[in-house]
Amino acid sequence: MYTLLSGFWKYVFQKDEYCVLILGLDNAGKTTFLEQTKMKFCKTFKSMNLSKVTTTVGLNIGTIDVSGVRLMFWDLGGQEELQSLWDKYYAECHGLIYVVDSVDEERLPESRQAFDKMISSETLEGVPLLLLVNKQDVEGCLSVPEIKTSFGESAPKIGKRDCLLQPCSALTGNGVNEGIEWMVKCVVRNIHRPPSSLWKTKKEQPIGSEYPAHVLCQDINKTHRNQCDHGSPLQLVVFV
Amino acid sequence: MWRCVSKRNIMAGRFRSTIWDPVLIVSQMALVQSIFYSGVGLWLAMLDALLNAPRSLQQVFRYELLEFSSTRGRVPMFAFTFNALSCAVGLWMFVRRGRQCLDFALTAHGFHLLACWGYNGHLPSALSWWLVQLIAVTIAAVLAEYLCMRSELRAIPLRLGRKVDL
Repeated sequence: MYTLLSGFWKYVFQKDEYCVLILGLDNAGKTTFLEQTKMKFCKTFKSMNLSKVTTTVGLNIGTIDVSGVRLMFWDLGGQEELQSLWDKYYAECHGLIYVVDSVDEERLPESRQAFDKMISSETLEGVPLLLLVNKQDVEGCLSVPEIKTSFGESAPKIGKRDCLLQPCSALTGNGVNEGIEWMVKCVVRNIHRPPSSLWKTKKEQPIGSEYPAHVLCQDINKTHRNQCDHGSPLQLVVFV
Repeated sequence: MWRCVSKRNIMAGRFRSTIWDPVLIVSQMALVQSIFYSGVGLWLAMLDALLNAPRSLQQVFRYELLEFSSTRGRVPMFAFTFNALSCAVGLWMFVRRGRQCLDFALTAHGFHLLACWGYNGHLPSALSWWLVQLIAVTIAAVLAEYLCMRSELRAIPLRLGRKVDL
């Protein structure tokens, strides 16, 4: 009886839930951006010291409630070995945030390459894209028009979707509010990707068929082994 | 129902559905209730035959018959206690989820309370009745949870499609 009534209560009063992916090269500032978002939109959140954020292996998940809607952020690791895991999450996401490091001018072509690969994916058609130009608080960073010209060749690949180029600084928090509010509006407006509902069947990852855990481990370890001779294989602990 | 639920879960390779299914829950409640009453009936029949006590529907529903002092009173007492064991097995077989066992056990006894209230016209005032029901709920919930935990903690086989060299 309790499961029946509590399920009914949640069905009636549950907010729509949208998944947003945060992608970008390693050291672009994705995890810092996630922590900053949680600090700004979550009243009870006690954040860690933002200067102590390290590289993400795997992913970080954060949930915020904004404008009557629940956003679930999936901050995926940006290292080259982990970029092969990005496409596994495309089918389930409702919004995209691509973070560009405006200080690192040398890696800008690399960032653009990853962006191209991501944006040409068919599973991401029509998904709103927020291009964040991060680290705007650092002196000598590239400005938004400069980033726009270097990403100019990728512009036709963006296709028909809501797109916004937003300068921000994840450390100080400038530009974060505008980015998130825009994302919320676009994600709600996008009728082609409805929110995951309690009533409809959730598309679960079946265990042992398409993306079994050991294949993901193998994927990471293969590229990891190619990169360094002495490293030991990474261990992925999977909780089922 | 058990077979098609388990087959659907195993064949599809899915661990568990996370959506709220009211049809499933209501049918499980009906099934658990029927297991409860058929269990009570069977245990009462066995105990009545063993102890040569007169059989009647009143043993299931009347409060006053449940007492510790007489043999006639002890029959429904023991019947409800043993029924908790059969209910636990029923919960394990058809509910199969440890965290829902307490919920279903309480619901079954809650409906029994309503049925008794309708039969007697008033809520039970005898302490022995409440005590027996409380003990039955506890036994059913704890035993069912134990059985479910045991089967839930079994290793899940990952289907290895090809030989993997890690």
